[in-house]
Amino acid sequence: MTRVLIADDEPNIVVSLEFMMKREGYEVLIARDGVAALEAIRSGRPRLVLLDAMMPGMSGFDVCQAVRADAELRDTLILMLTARGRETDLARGIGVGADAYVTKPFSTRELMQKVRDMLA
Amino acid sequence: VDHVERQLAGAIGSASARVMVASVAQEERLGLDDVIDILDEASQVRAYARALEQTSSELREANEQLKSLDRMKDDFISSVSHELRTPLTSIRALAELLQDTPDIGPAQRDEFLGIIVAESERLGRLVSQVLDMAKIEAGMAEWHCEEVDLRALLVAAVKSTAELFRSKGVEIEQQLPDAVPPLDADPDRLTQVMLNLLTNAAKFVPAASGRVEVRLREDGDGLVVEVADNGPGVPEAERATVFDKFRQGGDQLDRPPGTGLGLPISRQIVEHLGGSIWLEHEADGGACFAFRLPFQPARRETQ
Repeated sequence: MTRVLIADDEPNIVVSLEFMMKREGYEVLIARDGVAALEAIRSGRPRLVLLDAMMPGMSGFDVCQAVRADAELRDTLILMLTARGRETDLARGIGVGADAYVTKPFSTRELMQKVRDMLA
Repeated sequence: VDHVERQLAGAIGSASARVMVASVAQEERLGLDDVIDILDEASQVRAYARALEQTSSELREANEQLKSLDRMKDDFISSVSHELRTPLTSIRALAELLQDTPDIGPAQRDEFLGIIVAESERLGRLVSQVLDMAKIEAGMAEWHCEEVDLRALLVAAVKSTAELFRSKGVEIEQQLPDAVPPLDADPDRLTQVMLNLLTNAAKFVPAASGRVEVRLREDGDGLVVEVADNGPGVPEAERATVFDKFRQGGDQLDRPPGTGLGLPISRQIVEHLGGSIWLEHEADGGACFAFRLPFQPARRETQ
């Protein structure tokens, strides 16, 4: 079963993402902050991470950078989510090596399609 | 020779040019007057240079200030945008999921609907806060002043935030006199100030061991309210700007949610009512936000 990590500090956004991923038949891991996300990536080895950019402690950008710098984790797929609609954020997300970048609020259908494409 | 002299005059001043050209080309002797003229010109040039330097450093400073204001605005817009988009994200996603999942179980449906309602309320609060700020700033806010029993108002505000404190395991204590004279003020706006201070305190105190004290006392021709907590306090560097707009405690990624508008709005309200608001420090390092209101304000006519 394909394993997906949801890393977001907003519990209600986690609820929606978890429902979507489970409905699609993926196995779901959850992390509430950046440090927990990196730990979950190391221990759980998800195929894809839905990574919130702005989390307390360690940001999604930092997590992404750490994953890309680690030879063993490097091919983890990363889809960054951000609620700050700034162009510079998008550039920064791509700059640290995110595979895709989606702004909040997102369309669940579009996000699901993007996830399916990435995991295909 | 004339041409050379004109060129030189443009570069180094006419007296200097004349003397230089005269002594080189026409072998005239230098007089004392000529030397004095040169010195005059030289000191004038130096004065111009100093004035120019002064002006350009002032411009540099103004430019830096503008840049920093710009950065603050940018941070503010980015943080407001984050705060507004976050509840909207849950609302949209869960509503779409309900729409696309007709066979969803009743428990799941109720959970989603509950979140949608709660996040809509959160979004509503944020929107009114941002609008409030804009309205007060533009001098377009409406004020409804009447006789206010501040003691009763504090008790009501504490009561309405009780659930917030209970859910975090925080103790809230009230130190209020039995009765205080009435104030002439806008009760809704004052409630807004109290809710801002109380929710701030709730946000910053440690869970389970948090403690918040609300105090009220008479002080000359007015009343003083204090909301003290045993949180981490406000860092030295942020104390001077804590009531400024666009500012919010903590760094960009590691701060509690909020628009950073609660304290600026509170300050505008208190000042409009003729009072003042300030930050003190508790012996245990926690923060203590206090404000003083006169019984009969000479209100600022900012409407």
